[in-house]
Amino acid sequence: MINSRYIIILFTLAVCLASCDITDNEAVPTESFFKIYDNNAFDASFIPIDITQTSDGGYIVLSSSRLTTSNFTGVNLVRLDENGEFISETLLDEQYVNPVDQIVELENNYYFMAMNSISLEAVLFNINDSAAVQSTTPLGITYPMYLNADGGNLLTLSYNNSSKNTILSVISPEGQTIGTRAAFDIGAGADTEAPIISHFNRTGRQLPFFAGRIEGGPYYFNGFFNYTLSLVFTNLDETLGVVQGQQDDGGLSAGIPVSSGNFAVARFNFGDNFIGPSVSLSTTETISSTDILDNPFPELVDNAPVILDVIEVNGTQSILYGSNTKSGQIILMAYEIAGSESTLMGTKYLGSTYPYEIAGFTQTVDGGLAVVGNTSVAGRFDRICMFKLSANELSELVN
Amino acid sequence: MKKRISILSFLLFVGCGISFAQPAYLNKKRSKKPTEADRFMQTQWWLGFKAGVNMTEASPDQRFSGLSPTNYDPGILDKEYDGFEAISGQAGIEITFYHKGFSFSFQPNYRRQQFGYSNSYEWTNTEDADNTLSLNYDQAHKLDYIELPLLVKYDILKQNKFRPFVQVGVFYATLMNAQKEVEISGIDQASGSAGPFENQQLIIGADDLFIKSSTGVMGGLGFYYDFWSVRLVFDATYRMGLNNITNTQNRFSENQLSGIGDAMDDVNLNNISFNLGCLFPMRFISSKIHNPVR
Repeated sequence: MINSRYIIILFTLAVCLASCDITDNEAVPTESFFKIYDNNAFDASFIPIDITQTSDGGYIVLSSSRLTTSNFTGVNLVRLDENGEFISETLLDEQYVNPVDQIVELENNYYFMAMNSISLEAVLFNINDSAAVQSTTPLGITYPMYLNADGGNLLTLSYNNSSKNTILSVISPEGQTIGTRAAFDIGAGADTEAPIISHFNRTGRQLPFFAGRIEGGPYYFNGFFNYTLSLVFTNLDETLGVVQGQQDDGGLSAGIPVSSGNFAVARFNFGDNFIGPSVSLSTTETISSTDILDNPFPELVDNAPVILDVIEVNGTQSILYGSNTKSGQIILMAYEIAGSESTLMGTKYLGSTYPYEIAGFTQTVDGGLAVVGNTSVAGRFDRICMFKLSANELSELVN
Repeated sequence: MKKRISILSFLLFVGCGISFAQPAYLNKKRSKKPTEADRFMQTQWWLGFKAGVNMTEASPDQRFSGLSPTNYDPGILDKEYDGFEAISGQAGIEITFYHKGFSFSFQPNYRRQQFGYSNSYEWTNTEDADNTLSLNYDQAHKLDYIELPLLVKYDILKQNKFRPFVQVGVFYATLMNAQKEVEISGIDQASGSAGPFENQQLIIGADDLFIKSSTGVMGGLGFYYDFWSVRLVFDATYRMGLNNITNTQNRFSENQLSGIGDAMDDVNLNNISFNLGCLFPMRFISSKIHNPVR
């Protein structure tokens, strides 16, 4: 009988020691998930623009969809719960079209910008946690291209096709212009304007317009200036410095200031892509984007769109790039912020089987990351998708 | 964890080996006492091998999907699970201690278990009914386990050559390998085709989609048939899994098929297995004529 006892004891021990994974097999559903927001209409098609997390833990996705009544695309607001499950979708009146990057949060109010389809005037929308529109304010500028925060105000980038100027202006959350609108001549001729109009009609390439402000320093924008897509530094009165592109064939695809004088940038040049996580850019000189010392990334699709931001992982700030690979996946690349020697800490690929493209990401309150993008369900239908990475998964990216 | 299981398995088998290495003559010595002799006649160790087939059914608890519908009922996304359909195999050894009609049996085995489910989706054009695409995703999962079952058997007839028995027990299994196969088929009327099409089959490693451990209870019936000095055994056993085998933390992140909207539900595995084996007695009445104790 003693032999039987041995077997029972050893069996019990084996089970106890080896079955820890049963008790540990609990996941918090809000931490990590992946969702595709499917619509069973054969001809439905959606274009994600940006994502933000709301104070209740849920998400709002700003997106766009083709309209049969306009050359422009309509405005969709998709509301998701904290598990990423679809709650509701609001298709705004068809007079509002072409929502632009980004959704900006100011004191628990969310703002985004779109365009009036008739007057082409930019309209500022204020929405609440439930993605319900609280107010719409015409801004007196046309062809909106980008919206960013500027302290407690908003910074808008737009285009005036009458004067052929790129316009940078600061507005209050109520939509009142603060100071003067800075205008930058794009150059004469229809050819110069053509890529901008194609961008708005979505008949051509989507151009990487963006704008911001160096903390305590000048403003910058990436838009057309002097015949080229350029990164322009300005104090809103005059042009201070320029990083010139190659008409619309080269220039910056993303850029943010990361430390004094240094920028994290991504650029494209005749299809090729380059990443510079820490480049020194003078805000008072004129240089060419090809002068930037950076690393080639042949893995990315031609003229790849790049989403770029500084996020906090394990209490440390890191530069996160998001883009699209030639293999149809979304790639996330994390770089450390370390003066002029920023090194790649890790990469992560999202998506499989069908093609995936990134539209935006936002850091979540649990220390994770929400990435919104587009996928072709069944290889055919453009749908919005969302990857939620937990803080642990994000931590693995930088370790 | 793997190393720990290996060491424990080694100890287990060494322990068993020591037990069986005890020669019968030692018992003979003890059998000098009359009560010991009686006890000797009522006790036997059996060692043998067995193999057979099994069918598995996955029982979903909480359901998940990679798709979140915006304009149709989420219930449409529920997976349809196959029943006990796919046949797999298992093989292992049996170590049984018999005493007065009751047997305590340890039956480590290597087994493959298969289960499957399917999803169906349809996209239609409300203005042109000809523009319709129907897709069906058939997903099969092959899980290889090393299983350590512990059973108590009771012989209904004790003195016959033909000895039916009933058995109940518990099992613990550790996953060695997992594979997932997806076959996509459908009807694409929008492309002008009314007939079905089949896409290439996708096969991926799926170790990360499942946790290592699987436990449960089991019960069944069978019979022994004694001839010469060996015993044939046949049994039919039902296993009821008691834990969720899906790795909940990797449900979305490590699933290479999440791109098609796949996400594993929380599932327990239930299994029916049939085994045929041959057992050899380890204790004999006489070392010259080798009459086994039965």
